[in-house]
Amino acid sequence: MANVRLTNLNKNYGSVEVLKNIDLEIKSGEFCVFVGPSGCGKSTLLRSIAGLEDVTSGDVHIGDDRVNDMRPKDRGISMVFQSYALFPHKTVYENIAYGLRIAKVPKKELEEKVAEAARALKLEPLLQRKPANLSGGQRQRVAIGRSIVRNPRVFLFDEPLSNLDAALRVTMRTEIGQLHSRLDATMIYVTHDQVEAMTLADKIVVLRDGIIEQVGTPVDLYERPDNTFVAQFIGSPKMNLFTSEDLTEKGKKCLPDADTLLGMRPEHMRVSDMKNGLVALTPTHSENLGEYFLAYFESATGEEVIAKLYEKSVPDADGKVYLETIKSRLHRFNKETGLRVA
Amino acid sequence: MNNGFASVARLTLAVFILVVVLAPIMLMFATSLKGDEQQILIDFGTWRAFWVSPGDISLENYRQVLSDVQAPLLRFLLNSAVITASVVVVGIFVNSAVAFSLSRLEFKGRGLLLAVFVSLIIIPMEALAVPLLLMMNRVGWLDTYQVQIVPFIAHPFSIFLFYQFFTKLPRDLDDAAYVEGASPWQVYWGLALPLSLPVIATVAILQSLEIWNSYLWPLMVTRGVEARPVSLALAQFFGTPPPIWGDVMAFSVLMSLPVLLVYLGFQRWFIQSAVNAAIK
Ligand SMILES: Nc1ncnc2c1ncn2[C@@H]1O[C@H](COP(=O)(O)OP(=O)(O)OP(=O)(O)O)[C@@H](O)[C@H]1O
Ligand SMILES: [Mg+2]
Repeated sequence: MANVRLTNLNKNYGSVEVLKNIDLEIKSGEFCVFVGPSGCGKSTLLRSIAGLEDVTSGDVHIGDDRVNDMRPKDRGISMVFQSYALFPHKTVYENIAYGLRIAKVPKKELEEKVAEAARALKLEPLLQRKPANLSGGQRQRVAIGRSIVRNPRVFLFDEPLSNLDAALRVTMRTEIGQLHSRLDATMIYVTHDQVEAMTLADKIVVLRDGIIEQVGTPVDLYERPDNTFVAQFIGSPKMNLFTSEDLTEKGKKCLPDADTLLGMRPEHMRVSDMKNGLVALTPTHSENLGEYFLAYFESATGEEVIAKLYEKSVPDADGKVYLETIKSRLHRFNKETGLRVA
Repeated sequence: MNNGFASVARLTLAVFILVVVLAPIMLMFATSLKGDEQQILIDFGTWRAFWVSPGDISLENYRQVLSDVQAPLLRFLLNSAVITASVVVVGIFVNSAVAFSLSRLEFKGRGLLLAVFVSLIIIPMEALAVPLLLMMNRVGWLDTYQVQIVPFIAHPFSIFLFYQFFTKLPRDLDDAAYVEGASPWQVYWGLALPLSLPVIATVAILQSLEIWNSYLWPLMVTRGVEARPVSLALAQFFGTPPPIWGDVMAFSVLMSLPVLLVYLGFQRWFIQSAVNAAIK
């Protein structure tokens, strides 16, 4: 168990800057999730911590060690890959034992550790199989087994569940969460999946184009996004942003000036009326999901707006639907910079 | 009806191909087992050339061929076996190691190096024989095993096949192994090589056939029996008139058998790994 500290980290491929001035501290025992759009550098950042990529400049510290010049094996990390990366010609047992064999761990200790991991991951009946004869979920558990037997200081996961079907993803997500609390280990986890990020993370790091946009707890990011990018990236469907032209007279009062955007999350919006509504919208269509409706609108400026409503919205006399939300759920951002205002 | 016709046609074709392929082999086996040289010459004009009735089987030709002091067949077979096995076994390691480095290490001129290797595939041995002979003569290797082994270990086509395979091997496997503490050598030896079994089988078959059957080079570099391979011995044997067909065929059988055995061994392996790959 150890903390991870990245200072002023840069990574270039030729002239392409993939990571720019990354500063980040991940505490010992923390579950840290990297999210961001495809190609933003999540994997590169993870691989830089693992030592699979050399950084262009800056420092990587794990515990008290500056590990920039250490090879992956000396960094005390383990990694689970999206492709599982199991060795196809080795049995499950040998896959799990791989690192221990290389480290020349005594036979008895090795057997105990593999048995323990197999028990924890319910892999005992499968130990003599080859990876080709396992299901996706089983393969992923073997990959996790391989990563836990060496008691690494830091666990790295690169989208470990994205090749699994939805149901299995939920189960495995829970298992990884339990693994974290049981091992009490530092874990860094890359994902595309909002729900994984929100449920697993102690700390979420939102990346865009190689830059950290915001670091915070899931609740922080959800309730106080630093900028419009984070606001729209966290939460699904994404947050609606309105310019003052979209707003009613009452809505305009919520804005300090015309250079500010008003943000409302779809799940916080309620049907209102001409007098109390903050926005006036033209309904386009709506999807009935049983529990709620996803209502689609067009704003005055022509943007698509989505609201999650528990009743079917009926347009007012002027054909518009008026929506509102409580004050504490309103977000304000500068139109130019996208930064949060107050 | 149509289907029935198609399957009859297919069966006929298969039998035809089988006959065409097997005929020379049958001729060779049958003739080698006939002790009476006169009878062989009479049979040659008829279908009996492909057949020997069990009562007439004689191992006389084999006895003669094996006991010829002038041309010690067992010695030639041994020479060929040593040379072929050395080239193939050392070749597998050297060529796969070269290919693995080419596929994994990034250095300036890698593309060029690869292009050179590939273009070497098309240069025939005959074109290199004379300069190579001069070199070998200079180092005093004539009439040795190594003169027939060393120049043939590096095999561009094998390198190419291994390279093709290794570039398709997911890099995540390497990375996973490195994270687990493996050295580059352990990744090559413990992962890349065992996973390339199908390529190894292919390369072993290709290279062993090439070496076992090679003729020109051994002719240029061997004089005595010490290092002479069996291919050359057969030609000499055959070239001494008048040909004694029974002996020639017995000789041919003995020369073909080892290759056949090696091939069958590797083929089983080859099919196995092809099946494994299909399951994944
Ligand atoms: N070896 C490389 N050479 C050049 N560019 C690279 C290399 N590896 C990655 N990149 C670039 O670096 C950027 C970040 O890649 P990275 O794989 O870290 O993204 P990611 O956030 O993990 O994306 P995804 O969610 O799709 O996995 C991408 O634009 C990619 O094209
Ligand atoms: Mg990635």
